[in-house]
Amino acid sequence: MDGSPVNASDSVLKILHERPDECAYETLTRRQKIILGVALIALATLAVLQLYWLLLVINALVITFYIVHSTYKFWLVWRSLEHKRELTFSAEELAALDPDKLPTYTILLPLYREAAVLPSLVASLTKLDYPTHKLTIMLLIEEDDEETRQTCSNLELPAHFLPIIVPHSLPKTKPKACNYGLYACNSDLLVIYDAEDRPEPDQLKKAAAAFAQLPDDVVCLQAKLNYYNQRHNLLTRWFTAEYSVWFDLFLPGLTSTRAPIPLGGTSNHFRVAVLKDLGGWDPFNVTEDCDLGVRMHKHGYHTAMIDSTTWEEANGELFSWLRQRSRWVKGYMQTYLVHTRYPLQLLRQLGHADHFSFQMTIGGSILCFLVNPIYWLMTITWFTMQPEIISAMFPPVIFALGSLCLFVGNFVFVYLSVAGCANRGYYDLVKYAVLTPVYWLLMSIGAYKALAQLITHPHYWEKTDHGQFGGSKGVSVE
Amino acid sequence: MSPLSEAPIVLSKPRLLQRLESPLIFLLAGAVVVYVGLMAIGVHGLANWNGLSALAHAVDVLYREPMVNLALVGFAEPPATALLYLPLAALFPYLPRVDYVTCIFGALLLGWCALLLNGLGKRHKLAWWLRYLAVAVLVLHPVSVSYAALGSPIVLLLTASLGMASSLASWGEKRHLRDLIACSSYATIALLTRYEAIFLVLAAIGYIAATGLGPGVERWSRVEGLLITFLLPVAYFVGLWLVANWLIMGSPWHSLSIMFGTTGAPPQSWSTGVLVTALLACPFSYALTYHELRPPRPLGVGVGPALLLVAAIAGALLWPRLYIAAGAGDMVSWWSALGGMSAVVLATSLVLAVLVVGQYLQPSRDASSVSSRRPLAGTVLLAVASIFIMAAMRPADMVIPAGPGAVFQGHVAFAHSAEAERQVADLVAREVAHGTRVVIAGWPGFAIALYAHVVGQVEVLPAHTPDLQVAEQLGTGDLLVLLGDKALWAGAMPHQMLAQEWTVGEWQGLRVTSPDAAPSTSEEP
Repeated sequence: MDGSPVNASDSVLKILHERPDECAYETLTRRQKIILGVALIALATLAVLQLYWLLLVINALVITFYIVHSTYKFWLVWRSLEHKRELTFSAEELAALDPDKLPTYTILLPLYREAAVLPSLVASLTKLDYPTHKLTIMLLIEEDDEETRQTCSNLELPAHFLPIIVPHSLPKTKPKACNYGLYACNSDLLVIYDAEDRPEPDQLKKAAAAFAQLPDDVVCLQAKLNYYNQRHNLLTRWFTAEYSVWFDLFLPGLTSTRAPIPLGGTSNHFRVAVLKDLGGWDPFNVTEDCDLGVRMHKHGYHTAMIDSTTWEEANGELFSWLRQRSRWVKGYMQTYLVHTRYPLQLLRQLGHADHFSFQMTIGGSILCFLVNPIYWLMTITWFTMQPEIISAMFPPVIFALGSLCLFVGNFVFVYLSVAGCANRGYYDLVKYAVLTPVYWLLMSIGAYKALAQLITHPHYWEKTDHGQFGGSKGVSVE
Repeated sequence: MSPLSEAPIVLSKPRLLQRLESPLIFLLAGAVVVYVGLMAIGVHGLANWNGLSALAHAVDVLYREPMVNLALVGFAEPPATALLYLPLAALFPYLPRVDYVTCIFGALLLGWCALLLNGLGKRHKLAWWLRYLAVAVLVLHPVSVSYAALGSPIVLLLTASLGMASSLASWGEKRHLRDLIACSSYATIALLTRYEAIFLVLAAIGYIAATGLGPGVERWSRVEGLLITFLLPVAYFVGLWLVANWLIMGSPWHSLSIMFGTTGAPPQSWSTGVLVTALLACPFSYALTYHELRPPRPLGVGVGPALLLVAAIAGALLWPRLYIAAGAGDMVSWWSALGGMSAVVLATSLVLAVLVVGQYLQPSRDASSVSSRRPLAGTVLLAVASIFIMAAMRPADMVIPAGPGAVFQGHVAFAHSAEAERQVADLVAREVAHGTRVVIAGWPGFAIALYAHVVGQVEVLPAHTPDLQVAEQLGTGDLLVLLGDKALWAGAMPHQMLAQEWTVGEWQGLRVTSPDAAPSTSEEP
């Protein structure tokens, strides 16, 4: 087993030391707490004085948001459907690449309690089509993870595999381990994979070819993610439909507008030098990928997509899925709060269009998850009991717009799931995609769990177990 | 442009004329319609009641507060036209003549039709003059202009069916999901415009299923997935429509039980027009569709022309035959009940079906023939067949209802003089200004309310027969504007009397009086 002489405090917490305003160590700054407090007091006062008008205005704002958000998402997806927005390379183009001129590449593999999948992971990574003298595969194993360390010792690893022990320190999160690997690597390019990932063999070559073509300000490439166990059960089918929309239709549309991209957790390829300059990943953010995508954009860097898929394992166990989802939504909340600490500065950094996109993509997703159940409940209540207060909240124009959201907006999102499956060629999953409203309910449950956890345990990382199509355990990192 | 935004596409910068082509076609087509529409509406005072009733429903929704729920009745009928009129109806208070809205509606749609047809030709790499010729045939054809100039729902159906043909052709060629989604959207609009479009949808189902039946063990799940993707919007929105019918009219099948949802015009006048439009304009697109749908393999001797002939027979000869069957009414009773319009759409679907069969029966063409700049054999054949059919139809008096000369002077087909309604509207506006309650009973009473700019202030009953609830509520001094038998209403109002104040055309102005009041004399305004 190899170790690496990296100074943990210097590297893994660089963002906290050098860019504290962009670090999620503090969930809410003092200024944000004051603003939030004032807003809550104002709302409470208005609720006492003018409850009807308050509800009416909030209702009108939410419905307007729904319409704008749905239209924006549909527009992005339609852009993807118009023509391919990902960088595509043919087999001939890849074969023509000179192996000696390819850039050096490092693969970061944060492993924690992944002994079970390690052998298959190593087998999968040895199939990658990239010259091994240009490739380093770092296995980032936590110091206290005896089992994985032992399994790793027992394997006969090829020479370009480099096991690295990440010293025990808090927070014990994936981004912290990645930072450790980042500052230990000196290659040109870097990619991060999860333990259960099965990237397409030519993905590194595609990324290298893409970086060679793209301007210097494009510092990240996101590969598509999808699931190899999509037909395991209904949950994995829905999960697959969601990923098929997100990575095949939505993100390509978003990259085509050069908007900030909430990166997916793995298969992000980076130019190493820029990533180091930016401070690497935020170890306190539980969706460090999403945060990094926004941070890169704020500093003038962009992300593109490549037409290559990494196959992952869909979480097929309901409670495990809820834990995973709540971590993701909590991370989105952290990301939103971090980057809106100085709203005007954010607006200046992103510009109006990208700021709008940030609000819709990050803020809008959170809001939808949280507000959807309220409106579903209101709809059911109105149809069953028709209480006066709900009728009063929907004067004619708002009623018409609300009906549009209910009957058209919801349908559009169901149809996007259908389109995602059809676009991927998962024709047998299309019929399950029709049932996605049930999946939305699960997402909202996860979102409320995330909200509660953001208050009580903001940095708690609920780890997903791999190698068994589901199951997870929480890992306290605070 | 960012390398990201167009990453995999290498595009040469189009020349100015190329970039302006689509806007120019759209504007020119729209200008033709607006010109004819302004002549027809402004100079000759014509109206298309179908278009105007859809506009009335839309205006009702926007301006009939607080009784907006009543306005939804309009959407129990095939609602696509009224729904699309909604944004335009917002112009209603700002235009000197409300029915100009119908003209704008028609101009936008025929402009869109022209773009669809031009796009189809472009995809086929037709010479520019051939494309423009086809577009000109469509845009300048007296029948299509007549529909568009007065905003008839038929122009929406024409747009939707052209859109279906265009996106199906593209789907057949490229298998891009967006074409399937576009086709589904057009199919939904078509079905929500005229329920007869179900035949088009069925034909499209057949074609899409056939495209899914490729090699591989997963072909059935592929067919299933493609069909769900295509049918989901259609089924969902038609389902909503049925629920709306059920909630508003008491029966989910209300609209299906009436022969013409939004029309009061006699079938022959408009179905003949659709027929002729389809004969002249649509075959071009169908032929293109046919041509594009063929798989890129060498064409077998004789098979192509034979199938084109079949397509011509299906596309042209079947229409008048079915139309005659529909007109006779006693040959095929169920068919007759559907009307002449059904004949057109069913025949269209048959053409599409032939194309589907053709794709699998015939050995196909060389891919290089796609870039042919010669007129298509199918186009020529269908056009010739159409002319032949038109000549054959003339003795049966099934000809274009208005010639080009008349149409471009504003005497459009499928229109009615709205002079009487306008005069009544002036009288009604005066009454409403004085605070009088006005009830208009009879079709097209909605036109009077629209012309008088008093939507929401007067009650409009579509039938001239008495509504007992309304009759009971009428009080002394109220005005009943009636197109029909006064005695029926008088019978429904035992405690009041109706005194005729004026008659305009067939409309009567009846003042509600108490039994002891002196009877008024009838007078012309």
